Amino acid sequence: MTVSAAEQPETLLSLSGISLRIAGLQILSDVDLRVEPGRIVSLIGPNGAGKTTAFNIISGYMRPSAGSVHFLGLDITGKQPHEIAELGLVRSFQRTNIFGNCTVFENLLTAFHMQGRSGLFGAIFRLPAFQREEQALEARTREMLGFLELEHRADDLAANLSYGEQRLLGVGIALAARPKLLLLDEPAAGLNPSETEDFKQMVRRVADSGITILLVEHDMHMVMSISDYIVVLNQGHRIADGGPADIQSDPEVIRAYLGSGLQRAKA
Amino acid sequence: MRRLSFLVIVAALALLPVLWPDPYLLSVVAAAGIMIIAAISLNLLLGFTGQLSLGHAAFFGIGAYTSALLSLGFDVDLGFSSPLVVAPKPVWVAFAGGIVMASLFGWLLGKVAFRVRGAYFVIVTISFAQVMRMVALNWVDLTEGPMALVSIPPLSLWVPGEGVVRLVSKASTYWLVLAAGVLAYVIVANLVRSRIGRAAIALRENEVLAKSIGIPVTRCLIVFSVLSAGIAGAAGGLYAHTVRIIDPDVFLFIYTITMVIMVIAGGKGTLAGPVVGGLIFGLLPEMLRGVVAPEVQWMIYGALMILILLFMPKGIVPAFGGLLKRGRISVRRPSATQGASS
Ligand SMILES: Nc1ncnc2c1ncn2[C@@H]1O[C@H](COP(=O)(O)OP(=O)(O)OP(=O)(O)O)[C@@H](O)[C@H]1O
Ligand SMILES: [Mg+2]
Repeated sequence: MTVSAAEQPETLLSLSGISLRIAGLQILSDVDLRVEPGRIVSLIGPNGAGKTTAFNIISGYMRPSAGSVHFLGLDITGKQPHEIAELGLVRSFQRTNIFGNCTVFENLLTAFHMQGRSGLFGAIFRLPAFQREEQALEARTREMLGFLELEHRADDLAANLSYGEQRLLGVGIALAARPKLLLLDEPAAGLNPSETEDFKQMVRRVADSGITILLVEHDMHMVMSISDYIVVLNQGHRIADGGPADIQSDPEVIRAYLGSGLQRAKA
Repeated sequence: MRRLSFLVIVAALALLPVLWPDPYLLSVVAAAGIMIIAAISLNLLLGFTGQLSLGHAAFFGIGAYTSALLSLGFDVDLGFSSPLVVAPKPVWVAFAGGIVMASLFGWLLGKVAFRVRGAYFVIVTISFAQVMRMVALNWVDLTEGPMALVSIPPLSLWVPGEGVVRLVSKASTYWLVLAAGVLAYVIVANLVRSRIGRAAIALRENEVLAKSIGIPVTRCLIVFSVLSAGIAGAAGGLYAHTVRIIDPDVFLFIYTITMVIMVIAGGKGTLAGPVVGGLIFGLLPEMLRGVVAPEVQWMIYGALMILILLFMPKGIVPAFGGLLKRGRISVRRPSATQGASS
């Protein structure tokens, strides 16, 4: 395939002209978005702006009415969510999304699915290669438990975790899928200030480990302090983009969204 | 530890014909054993992937008919220039053929039906079993229709010192079913405790999340559908070569329902569930026979089922497992199963 100007190799993710209409409602209108590798990019905007919808389109859960999504230079528009995940684009969910009836350990072990190769034959006959792989995946699961600081919860059912722990596990599940680009949909929603601070540190550590992040978040404090680049959506339109300083001084953004939120972020 | 108790139970079951050589008992347990294997196969779909197949008896029947027909040989006129003539095959070859044929239909049904999930899938599976029954009833040239296939040869085995033994005695039938049951159990146990088994459980628990971590849902469902159908086909083959007569009634809805009851009462999604449920609901009719009138028998059967589900909604095995390890009794939160679109 040809690499056009819109998808230079250094661009990890690009949305061009994404529109979505559902039942006569224009939910997204001609949205462009680019994420360069190694960055933390935030997508912000008021409730109902279309941020989660944009995530659903990027990750293959919804098909846009127009426009295309490219990841690593490949056109991924209309691909299945699991195919997109296999390419290294993994999302977390706005609503807590975990395997509630499984233990925390099982949740993470399951999430390492793509890191395994073993098939039916190896599993049924418990071949040595299968056993080695299982041990390796279990070791990685313990590592991930350590990273999330959830070791003490390993054998508890995920449904019995506190809300904050469930949010953390949700991100851990996405991380276990080894993303190149991680989409986080309001990971800090509903967390208290100290939990939010911990979360911010974790997002930093994830980014430092070489994972590019596209973040949707309403906590302006967090967004302004960790983002390299911000895109603002309002009623399905992209109304601004730029660094945190540009966004905070953009009159249209202040009018449409920031308003009082900006005051809080500056405080 | 778990392996040890498993081996002890298997050894105890294997000793039964020696310790208690009552032919009636052995044949009753063997018959229940065949249903248990069918229930184990249903549990693979219903319990681990969460798909309710109400046509499971079809795979059992396909395995039974294919294996019986291949071992008997048949000729049918398919309407092409010459009739299809199949000479009798060795019984084990026929048995394997039954498994392959059932798996093939499992693949087909998986392909077709997993595109239409939920209630539609249930309807497709019911219709599938009905169509199979109609074929068995009406394609008289092939299946003898309601006259049944008779004189089906038994399986045989080479035993050191005794040469080739036809497995017709009650004890050998019992051992045959036990061996097949242990094999089915081990296959399912190894499968669900593996990467692909975790993938199936993931899509049962939360399909949206499963997809997001790269689990190919459709492929996973088809794999489980094929395996489930294959094991059900093996159970059907065992039935054909031990009972040695089959008629289109093997496709009856009541057999599927019996399997579903065994799985749900025992505990779907647990390894021991179909075995425990199968023992209770497989042996109960025999134990009640002669003691009470048949009508009362069915009432007891139904009442027991309702009582189990009332007091142990997840089934017997999880209820007792919960007693053993307290604290793992889960409180389900609705938030855990919500989807991607908000
Ligand atoms: N499947 C759907 N059918 C109809 N309308 C939808 C659908 N999904 C989203 N919408 C609408 O699209 C708009 C954008 O929703 P979306 O969830 O993307 O907003 P958001 O920016 O994520 O908001 P929030 O900050 O509250 O999470 C909303 O008005 C919503 O009602
Ligand atoms: Mg949202």
